[in-house]
Amino acid sequence: MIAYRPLPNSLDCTNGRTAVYKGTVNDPTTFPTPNRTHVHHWSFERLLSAGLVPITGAAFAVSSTSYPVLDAILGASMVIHSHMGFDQIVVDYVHHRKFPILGPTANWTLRAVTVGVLVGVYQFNTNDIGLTELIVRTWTA
Amino acid sequence: MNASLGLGSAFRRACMTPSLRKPSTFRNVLPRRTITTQPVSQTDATTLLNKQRLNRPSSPHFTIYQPQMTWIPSIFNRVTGGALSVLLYGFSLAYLFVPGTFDSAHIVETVASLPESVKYAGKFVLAVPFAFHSWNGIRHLGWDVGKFMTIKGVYGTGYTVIGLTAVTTLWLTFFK
Repeated sequence: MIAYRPLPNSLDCTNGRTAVYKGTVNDPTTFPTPNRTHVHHWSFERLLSAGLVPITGAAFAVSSTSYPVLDAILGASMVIHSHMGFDQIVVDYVHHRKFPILGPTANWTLRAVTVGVLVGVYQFNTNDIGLTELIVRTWTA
Repeated sequence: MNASLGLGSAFRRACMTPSLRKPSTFRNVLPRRTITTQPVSQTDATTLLNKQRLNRPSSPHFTIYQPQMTWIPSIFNRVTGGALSVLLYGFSLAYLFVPGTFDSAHIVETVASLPESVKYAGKFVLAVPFAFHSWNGIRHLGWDVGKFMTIKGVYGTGYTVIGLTAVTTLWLTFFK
């Protein structure tokens, strides 16, 4: 990932690109308070990515119709992995510090869409042939 | 300078002559400054500074960097991952809202009716991001456990990922 160094909180960007001082130039810079959950967030994200390696491999190796559990795990983990990826894009490019309205809007839109996607994936895995079988059939159509 | 030319004492004497020491003498000789200053409060000064900061141009960035293995695959990882996720999200939402149109039977039927060339092109376009993101994701996991954290490691794994992506893409496009 390309990581941009965040601006300190005392700098506000009113026009989306230029930093403007809050208070006076002599006010100390404030930073977000450290929180242990940030570490768990990273660990969870990395474990999920690592988990997708054997899950993807298994999807290639076995026939999905006989393993609906695989479709369920693959569907859920890919959606969560995607959600976290989109969330990082929102944080990097439309951060609420720079975009006070667009940032939170993007964040909540993403959450709502992800919930819809999870329901959609569940419906497809339950009522149709499931994700892996769909990919296999489409690929060889 | 004056001292080295032996003019130090003469110059000093000229300046220190009682008539020249009076401030009014200089005020009449030197041209009047046309700029006037005025006291500004702390808040007004900050407002003025912020107004000026908003007029500052954006310095060149991003495009001034040479394309390198250290950052091109990094942004490509985000682009490919984003593209694949958009496909997953798009399909899932389409199935959620219009299950009658986006069910597996219709999708497979539509794809099957496409000309062979379009099918191969489509498989290629999907295989590239999938292969790259998968292999580069493993490269990232390597870094996450502290491996290949050198310039040599970044380039070695980078070329490996490109090679594996090429092979996997060809295999998925033409042999699957």
